[in-house]
Amino acid sequence: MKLPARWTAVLVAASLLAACSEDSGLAPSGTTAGTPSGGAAGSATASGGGGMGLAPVGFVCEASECPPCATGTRCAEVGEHLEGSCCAAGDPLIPIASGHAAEVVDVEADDRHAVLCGGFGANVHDVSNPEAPQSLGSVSARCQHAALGPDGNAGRLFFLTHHGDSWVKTPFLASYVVGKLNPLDSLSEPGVLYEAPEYQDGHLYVAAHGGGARIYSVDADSGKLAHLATTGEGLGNINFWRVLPNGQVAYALDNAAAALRVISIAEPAKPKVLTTISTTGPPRDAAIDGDRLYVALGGFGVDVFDLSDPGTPALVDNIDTLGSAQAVSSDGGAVAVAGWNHVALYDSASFALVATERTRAYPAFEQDLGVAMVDDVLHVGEWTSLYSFRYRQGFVAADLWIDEKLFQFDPEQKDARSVVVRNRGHLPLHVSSIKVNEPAYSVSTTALDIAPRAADSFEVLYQPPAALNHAELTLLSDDPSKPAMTLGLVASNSGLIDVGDPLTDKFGFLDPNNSGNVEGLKGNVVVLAYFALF
Amino acid sequence: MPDIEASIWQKYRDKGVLVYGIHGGDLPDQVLDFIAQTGVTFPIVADAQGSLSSFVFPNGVNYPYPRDVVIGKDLVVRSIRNSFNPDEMSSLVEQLLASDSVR
Repeated sequence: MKLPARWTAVLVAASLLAACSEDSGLAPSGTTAGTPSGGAAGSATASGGGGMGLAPVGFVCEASECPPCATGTRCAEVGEHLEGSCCAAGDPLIPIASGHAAEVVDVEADDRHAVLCGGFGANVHDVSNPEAPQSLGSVSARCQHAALGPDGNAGRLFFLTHHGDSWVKTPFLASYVVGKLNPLDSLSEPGVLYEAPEYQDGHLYVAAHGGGARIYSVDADSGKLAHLATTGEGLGNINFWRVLPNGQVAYALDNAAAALRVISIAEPAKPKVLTTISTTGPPRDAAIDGDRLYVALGGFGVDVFDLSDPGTPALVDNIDTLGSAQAVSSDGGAVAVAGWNHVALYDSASFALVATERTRAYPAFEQDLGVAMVDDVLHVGEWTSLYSFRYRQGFVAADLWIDEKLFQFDPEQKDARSVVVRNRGHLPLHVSSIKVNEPAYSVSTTALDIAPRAADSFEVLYQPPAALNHAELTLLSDDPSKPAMTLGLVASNSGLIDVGDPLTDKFGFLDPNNSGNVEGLKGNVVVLAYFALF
Repeated sequence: MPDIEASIWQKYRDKGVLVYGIHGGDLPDQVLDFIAQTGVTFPIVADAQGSLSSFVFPNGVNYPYPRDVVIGKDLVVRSIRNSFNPDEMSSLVEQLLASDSVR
């Protein structure tokens, strides 16, 4: 029986902790580390500092000589190590910078550049010093996806695509050079809806929905794009969202089939679909890191495939992510997932959750739609900005999480809301204060202690009237990244349809009988899926 | 949208469930072409009157898309969510289909 992913992760973490306590391999306080059974000789570079039972401050861990953290096999390089492991107490994800962008829906980055695509064009940043990203200008072309390319005579190439919508009447694929505003080349082929591009060895691999996987040759000096071949379009009901080259093969994400289509690209001019591998849900984004392929599946989490045999990806696990996995990226031992209202990091060895972050605190509401993991730096493409974090492997902390940022009340009615507080971290969470700045509200408790990976709850009670339409609930805790978390409390009549209210005749346009009211819908369960293309 | 196609429309279309994809404003060919290529087969409707603005924002959200509204057989709104969870929506749809509540 296959265990649900959440239980798999818990069991992995538990077994690792057990291993730590049985054979910690840590030297007594104040000395350099010893050699654990079966491990290599220590490579300690500093000594002293740790308390009783702790490894010394400044100890540089090697995976072979140090028992693992609860998050996986890695260990903190410096700091006061926790008893029984190489973990150190501290925030594993530190915000380091932000950069200008607008209506961001995708981010592509490496150790030199980051390109953010959005409704106001593409913003290009020099991120060679990720602590201080430098804007290299904006391209005005509204775009949905970007890819970084090779260096040529004119400079570094990058590519943009748009599949077409109400604003972009003509879908396009274009090549640009960093620092220049105008495209070097731009293609708009009849009937082709360009989705995500990926560059490898002189070729660009572009998903084209029902049009299959399209391969273009790229002239690094001129930026000229030339269509070489297409494959997959004859498979029938397909919907390719991204094509990821991996040496001699490529993986096309087929959203319609909920599958990977493995394509031979040994000869890019003669691509051929080799096989089909099912995914847990419809794929929307993917990333390759070494011999692992991570596939983001929206509400179905993230599938992890082993690529030991690149032609036959083997499903290893499914990470049960919080919310909807919009985008995924992996490097440096971590898997980053953009989950719309948060970004999360998972250890790439154990798939255990390392950290959950909101890029923007209340009263702002974020939309994290793109991620790019570059070594230990996480770039997040949030709707309004580029946010960058540094991942500190082996550091663990309490991680306070509350799904909601806002709680609404009918202003005329006494009512209560349950607030579920989760500790998604690896150390105990102590919430030392829970307060509201409006006397119409009260809370059922003013402090909480929550074990790692556990949850507790309290009640917010509303007793009208409220002097403030908009009050704030603030929690103080020992979560190092969110020592003070604020949530909104609103008591006002919006006049809008809420859960429990009847559908009005304004929705008569949905009536299959064209009667102008909603009577024709009665007796059916109705799902309204509002969407926008961006 | 493809997620709803797979986990709701294809599963329940013959069991009394109506699914509408609603696009704000008009429906230019570019949008219809895109939808056709995504494999979505449920009806796509232009929302010229901005009906989306009739619904409250769910807790913790201030951006309208994507938003899914589930309505029971009695035409009472049962769920408004901005993040699609296939298990959650399937469970709610099955619960509502089993309900006798029709006003």
